[in-house]
Amino acid sequence: MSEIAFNRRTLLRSAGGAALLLGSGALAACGPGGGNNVNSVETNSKIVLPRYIPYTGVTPDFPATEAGIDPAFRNYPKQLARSVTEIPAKGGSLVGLSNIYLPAPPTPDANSWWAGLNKRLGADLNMQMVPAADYTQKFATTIAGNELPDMIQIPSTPNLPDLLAKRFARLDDHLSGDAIKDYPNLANIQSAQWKQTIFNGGIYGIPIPRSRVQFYSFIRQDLFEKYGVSPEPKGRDELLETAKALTDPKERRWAFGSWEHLRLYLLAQNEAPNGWHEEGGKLTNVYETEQYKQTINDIADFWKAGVVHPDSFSATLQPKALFNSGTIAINAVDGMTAWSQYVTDNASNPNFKLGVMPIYTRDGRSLAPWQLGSGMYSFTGLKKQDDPNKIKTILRVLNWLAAPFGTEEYTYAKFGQEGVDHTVSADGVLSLTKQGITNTTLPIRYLADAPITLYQPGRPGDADTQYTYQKKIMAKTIANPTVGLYSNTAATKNVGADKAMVDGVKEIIQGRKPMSSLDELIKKWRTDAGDAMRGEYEQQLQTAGTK
Amino acid sequence: MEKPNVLVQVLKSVALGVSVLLVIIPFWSIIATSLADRQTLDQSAGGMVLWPGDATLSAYASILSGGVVTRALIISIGITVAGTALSLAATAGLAYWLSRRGAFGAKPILLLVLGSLLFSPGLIPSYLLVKELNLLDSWWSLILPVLVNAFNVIVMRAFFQELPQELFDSAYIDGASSFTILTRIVLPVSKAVFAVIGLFYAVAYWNAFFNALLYIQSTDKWPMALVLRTFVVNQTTIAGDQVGASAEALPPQLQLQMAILVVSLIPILLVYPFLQRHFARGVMIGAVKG
Repeated sequence: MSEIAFNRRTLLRSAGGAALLLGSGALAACGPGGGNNVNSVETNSKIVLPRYIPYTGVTPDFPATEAGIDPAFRNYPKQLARSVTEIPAKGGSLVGLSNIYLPAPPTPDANSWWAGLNKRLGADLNMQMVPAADYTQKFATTIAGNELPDMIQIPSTPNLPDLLAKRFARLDDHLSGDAIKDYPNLANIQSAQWKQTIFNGGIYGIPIPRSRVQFYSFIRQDLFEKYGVSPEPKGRDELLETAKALTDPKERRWAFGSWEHLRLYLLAQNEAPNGWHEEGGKLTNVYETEQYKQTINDIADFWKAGVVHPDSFSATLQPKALFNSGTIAINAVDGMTAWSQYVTDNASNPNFKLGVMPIYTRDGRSLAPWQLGSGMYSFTGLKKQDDPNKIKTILRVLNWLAAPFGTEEYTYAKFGQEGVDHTVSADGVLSLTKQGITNTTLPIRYLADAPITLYQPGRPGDADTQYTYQKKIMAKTIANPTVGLYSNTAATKNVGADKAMVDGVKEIIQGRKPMSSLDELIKKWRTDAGDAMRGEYEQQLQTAGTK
Repeated sequence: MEKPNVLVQVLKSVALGVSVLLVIIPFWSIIATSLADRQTLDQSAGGMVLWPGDATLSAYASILSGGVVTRALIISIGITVAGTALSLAATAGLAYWLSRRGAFGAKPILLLVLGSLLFSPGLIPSYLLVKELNLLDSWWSLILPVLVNAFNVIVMRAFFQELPQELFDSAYIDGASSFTILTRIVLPVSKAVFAVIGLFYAVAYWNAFFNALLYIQSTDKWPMALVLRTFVVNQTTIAGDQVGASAEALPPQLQLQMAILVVSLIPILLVYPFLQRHFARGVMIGAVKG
């Protein structure tokens, strides 16, 4: 309709990618020093990680484990513990930059919750909020301009170690080892997450912890019951049989939705490496393994058998909506936090019964190793400050924001003031009021956050179900050996190379290209990005091995 | 006149009817989907619907009750009105100058204007310029960098060039200055092109979110388009994040998106009837003569 809108937006957008590279290149040239710090496992492993001191002020019904199982609560604690005794800051203002998935809240003058938060923090917290899809571009421009906010959510970005060294504060003195005791809520974050904030031999941020379980395999328990199939198909053949029993195209019902989700499920089933496989400092990518080929073969078989939704390869496929409507019976792999979303979405649907499914190995002999997530959403970098006390103040503020589930601070951060932002029902369930929904969307959870907790308001049994499931699937796990390492190629070229690879694989599965072309695709991916990534990762791994 | 064959009549009506439906159905579907309740949407398995079922205004209620919406609406109207007026003034001035044969420096300036169609300044240079001009977090950053659009200058210049030279000559003879000619003679006969270009600018100002995203830091200065943008991307995906209790209270994603689409169409729908009579002529300008 309007040419000028088209021109301006596409110009800005298409310029964005190139400018990102340009910006970081210019950055590498500016500012002295910082170049001596090599970002390798050797230098990084010299750092003493912040000590993990679990918070004990609130006792969950089921405890967290260091293996990565999340703590679970049947009910919201009635007595709220206080995890922070002193007001973190003494006046002044702080600026944070982060993404936001929700509508922005009103500013403090019209938002009692935000005003109250400022009072509790002892400082005026200003936030620059950017819709999540546009965050990398905002980040790039903010970095290019010279004035950084005090706290910045760091996305995946080119030349990250250099960028951190030059523009961000090193936090070892404040956080390493026992020093973290000054910030007990940050000490409640596990080492697996802290490891990923280490670059150039120093700690450069506060991790935003997420579950290492990462995914659940969701099923429509009601459909499984209706068609009389076991919710625990053992092995590939049983899975296919189950899928066939659940599928009936005439009734617009299929077993699986997104092929991508099915791929993740089958990769686990075929016991493929989690991203990369490491042996003696040498890395093999999952693409280069027999298990990957097997997986692609399997998906092609499932596709041919007609148990996968026909729109599976479309970018606009909405697996969650399909799952809610019962058009697909299995959401093979979805973020574990989708549990809450499914429960809420289907509150008024009496037929809906949510279940979770473990993944067995291909031959069905045992449970397949669970592919662990990184356990981190992103991390928060702190701008270099002239005054070390300012860093301390900011860390105290972040410590407040990281208050664990069930504390008074957590309750205020997520639910606000009782009677204003939320109400408490007779059985102790907190629900946000209309005002609360509008006011509490400030994205502070991307500056610092409590570890993930399993809790479903008003459904105490869900804690048991989820915890039992986690315990079962996490009995055997497999981690990605490159988590915590940095590859510039992965942050730049691999984005395109991986897409080409995935697009090719989609063609193969749909039978438009022969299975034999897979080798060609892998070769192309290796030359485009894969080998460079491997080189960068191995270099960081091997400098550790040779010492 | 001979009465046309009945069969031809029928075929023509069918063909026209189908064409009309092809245009109307997508619009209807957008409106229906924006009104549909969760159950209807779920039944359609996440697709568009043609009938909203138990129609609900919850999507509109959601986007219009958001924390900063009322303010943003006023801001957007202000920026659109002020921006369009300034843009039209600047574009008309430049286009008029470039359209006059023998005007001083017109050739190199025209090349510069054309050049800006081919080469864009890029994201970071634009940002740095706005920052150096101290326009960050100011509404001027949403207007000044996009004040003049080269495409619109070319269209308007083409229109001015088509005006008969005799008009200018006679005005000169009567002693009119260049400025008087522009305001008294050229502008009154240029309503069509102003209507079209004005609409182009207005729609662009109304819908632009990306520059606001880069330049505006305080949420209380956000325009409507950026506020709406936050609704478009709120959906949690497999790579996204758990967004907390507030997210779960929102209506389904598709319903929200369609409601946003309708809201962003409103200004065009409001203005179009008044501009319609100029429009057919206006968009033809420069179509055959560049």
